[in-house]
Amino acid sequence: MMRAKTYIGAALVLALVLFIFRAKPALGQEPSVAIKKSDRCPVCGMFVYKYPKWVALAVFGDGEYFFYDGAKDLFKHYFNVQKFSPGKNPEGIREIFVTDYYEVKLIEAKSAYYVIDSNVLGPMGHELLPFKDRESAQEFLEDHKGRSILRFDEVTPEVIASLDRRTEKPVPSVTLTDFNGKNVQLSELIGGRVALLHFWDIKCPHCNTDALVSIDGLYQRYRDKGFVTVAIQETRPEKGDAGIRKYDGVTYPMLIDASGKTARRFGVIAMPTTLLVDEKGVVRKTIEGDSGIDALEKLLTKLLK
Amino acid sequence: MILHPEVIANLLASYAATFMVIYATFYGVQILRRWDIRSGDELQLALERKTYLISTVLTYVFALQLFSIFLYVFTADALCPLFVGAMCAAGTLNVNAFGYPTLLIKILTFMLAGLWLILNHADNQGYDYPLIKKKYSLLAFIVPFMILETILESAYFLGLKADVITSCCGSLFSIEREAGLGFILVSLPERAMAWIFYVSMLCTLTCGIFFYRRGRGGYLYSILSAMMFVVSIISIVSFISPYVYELPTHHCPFCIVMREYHYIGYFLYMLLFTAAVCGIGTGALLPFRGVQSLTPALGIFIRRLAIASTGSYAAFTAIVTCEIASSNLMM
Repeated sequence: MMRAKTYIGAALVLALVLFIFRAKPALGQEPSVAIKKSDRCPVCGMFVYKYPKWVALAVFGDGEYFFYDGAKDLFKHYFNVQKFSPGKNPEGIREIFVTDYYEVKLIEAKSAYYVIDSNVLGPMGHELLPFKDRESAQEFLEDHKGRSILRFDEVTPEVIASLDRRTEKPVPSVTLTDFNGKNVQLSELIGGRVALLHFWDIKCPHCNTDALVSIDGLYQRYRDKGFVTVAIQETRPEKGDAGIRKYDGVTYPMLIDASGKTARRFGVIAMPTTLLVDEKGVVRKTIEGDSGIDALEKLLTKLLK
Repeated sequence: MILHPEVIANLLASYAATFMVIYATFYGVQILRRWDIRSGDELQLALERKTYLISTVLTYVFALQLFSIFLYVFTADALCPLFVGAMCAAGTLNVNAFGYPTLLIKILTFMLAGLWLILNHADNQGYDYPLIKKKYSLLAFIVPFMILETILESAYFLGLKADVITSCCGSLFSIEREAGLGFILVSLPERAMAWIFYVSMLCTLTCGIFFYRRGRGGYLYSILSAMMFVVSIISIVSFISPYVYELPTHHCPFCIVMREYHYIGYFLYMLLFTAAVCGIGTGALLPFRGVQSLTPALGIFIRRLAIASTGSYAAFTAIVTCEIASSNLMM
């Protein structure tokens, strides 16, 4: 009888100890709320419990919380708190969590490493894949053809927009030739800088050499800030070609891509096409035709900041 | 193609319906050209016997057609886990270019099939086949749409590729899209849209009850009920759905059919479609009130249609109002 009482007492103490430890999350890194079946992503309306591997969570100071079906929607909310949760302020967010892709555990969003442009898709398509440390992010990046690893502060509304537009294409390592036949590596020429790539051809009836000159104006104004410009064409101009004199005044490199491989790698389907690429190699703007090149300037100044 | 029971059910229903309608049209054309009730000709007698079979076949086919639009949306909803980016029927329908055109033509064939059933029922009230030529003219009008629907639906289901990244309804019906019908509907001011909905619904219901009681204003009610159908669909996208979802930015007209929302969408859409078909049917039958063999049965049938339509609209409004009143969302 005594022994039975001792066992019961010990069990009670054990239960109490377990309860106390359960109630105190380790180092304050555990989220204070659990997912319910009725929780919906405030951005897209999805029921989040269906995608446990992708869950993200933001808890506000007043105790209200939001679950998301991926880091991308978390950032969309984060960048526009007023829109998706009227009456709330970004300052009111107490803690943010994302799910580590390898460990399938919630980790703090601000200390996580995010891989973009990999071949792994989330429920909402192209995603930011969160990892708890740089090593696992790097391992994933190499295994899944990711392009860059971003920290929380490096994720901007433009990055999120580029995921949705699916225009992110890294600068391919292709070899082009200049007018003298010398080989030039495109990725070396651009070298992690903001770049404008103008695809055109002397034989193309829609390509206007005036555009080359107006792009040169843009190049002149921003070259000091590390802005690179390259014109790429398929046809090598003949000596004494009437067209060649027209772009004598062009000061940026004009390269020849006889195979058309570069244009294909960038998904260029029409001539002329102008691409604005940021320093991470993400295509931020695509303009088909000549009009609208002037409008690039606003985005360009933003990228160069 | 994705071999899924619902996909097969959709395609089989579509092929069966179109085949039967084409078969019926073959005799329908003969009736249109050779029908003469005063003649005792052998062909006339054969046609008179045949019309009973054809009417029965078509009644079943068109009743099936009424359900097929709901089956189509149900299938699109059920398939959404297969497509990256899709979270409800809206995303699945966006997987290729044929999803939404099929849905639109299904709405049209739903209306036409409903009208045919109404016309057929009215025709059966008279002993001398008073509306037989109208009935088969309408059938001849429906056939091309049924064939087109089958082609589009086949193209849609056969062209479903699981590796396509589609858009979720959150972006299709979003203010950020800045193009397309979804954006136009979403960007309508919600408060103004709610006023338009309630005021026009009040006018429609008043007109319907007035017609039921006094027998006047039938054409007006018919036009109003057709317009009300469009206003109601726009209202669902504009201000009703955010209250159902309790999310201020979520305007999808498809998520409401999901189990998580207690399938309320199917109920709302069934009420709307019933109301519109009965309302338009009221106007379609009004010119035949003077037909001798149809009095007084047709007058009673028309008024029943009007009250069924009015009742469905009233029920729709009541449910919507309840949803808004009980919603946790404040706008």
